[in-house]
Amino acid sequence: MVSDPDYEVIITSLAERSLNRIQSEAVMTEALDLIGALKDDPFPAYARALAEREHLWVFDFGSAKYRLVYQVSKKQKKIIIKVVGLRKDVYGKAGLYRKGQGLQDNDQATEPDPHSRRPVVT
Amino acid sequence: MAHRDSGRVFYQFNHQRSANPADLTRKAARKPGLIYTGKKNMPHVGKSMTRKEARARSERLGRLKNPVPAEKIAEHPFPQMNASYPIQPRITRTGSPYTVVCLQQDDGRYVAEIAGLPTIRFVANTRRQALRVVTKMYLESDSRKAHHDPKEDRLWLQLARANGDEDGITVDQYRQRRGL
Repeated sequence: MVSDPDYEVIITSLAERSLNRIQSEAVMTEALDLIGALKDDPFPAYARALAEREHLWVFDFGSAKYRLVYQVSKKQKKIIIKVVGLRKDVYGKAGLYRKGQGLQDNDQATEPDPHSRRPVVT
Repeated sequence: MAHRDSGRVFYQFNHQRSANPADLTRKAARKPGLIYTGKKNMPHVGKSMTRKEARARSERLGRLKNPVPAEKIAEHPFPQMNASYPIQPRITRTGSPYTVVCLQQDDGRYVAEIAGLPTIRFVANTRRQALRVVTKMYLESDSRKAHHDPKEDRLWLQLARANGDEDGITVDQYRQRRGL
C-alpha cells in the first residue's frame, strides 16, 4: 500500500503505561519497531481498520498476544497510539472473559435470552 | 506402525521394526520410514514408505494432471494454472485472497511481489524461489494481522474512545526514558 511518509507518531500516557508493563524484551523491541515503522507506512499490510470513520486501526504483535490500536490523522500527519495491551488481561479487566465461559459480550448480556428457561424479572 | 482410521488418510512415522519376517524382506521395513494408511481398497495401504518415496508421491499428487500449455495460456479460461503465468491468485489459510505477480527482468532474474503491496518484493534467480520468498514474507506479515472478532473489536473500540488524550511522547523519547 503506497502512503505518504513522515508521519509523527505519538505515544499517549495511557499507552506508555501499558508499554511499560511488557516484560519480555523481544516483545518490547518488536512493539517499538512496529510503532516506529508506522512513521513511514501508517497502513501496513498487517494492520486492519477498526473503525474507519474514527480512523482507528489495529494490529497484533507478540505472537498475537498483544494488540495495539492507533489513530491516523492524515491532515495533521499524526499517528496517536491509543491503546496497547495484553489481550487476555484486557478482556479480564473489562469483565468480558471468564474462565470456562469464554469471551462474554456485555451488550448482548443485557438483552433477554429467548431460549432461557429463567423468568424475566422486570 | 500402521494406524488405521476409517476414511482418513495420513502418514505416520515408523519407529519400530516389524516383528513379521515377511516385512523384513522389504526395503522400507529395514529402516524407519513412513507408513501410508488409508482406505482398504488402496494398494499401498500398510506398506512402509521412505521419506524420499513419500515426498515423491506428494509431489506427484500435487502436480496438475492437465497443465495448460504455454501456447494456449491466452485463450484458456484459467491461465494461472500454468506456472509461468505472471499473475497467480492465491488464498491464505484464513481464507483471504491475494495475488502474486512474478516477471522476468532483462538480466534474466525473476522479480515477484504481492499485488497492491509493493513493499513486499523479492528478486531471485528462479521463478520458484522468488514466489516462495514473497509468499513467505506476505504470510508472515499476514499472521500478524489483527484477528477479526466483532466482540473483541467492540471492546477495543471502547478502550480507544475512552482514551481522549492526543498529547504524548515520541518513540525516540520513549526509548530514551526506558534506556532502550
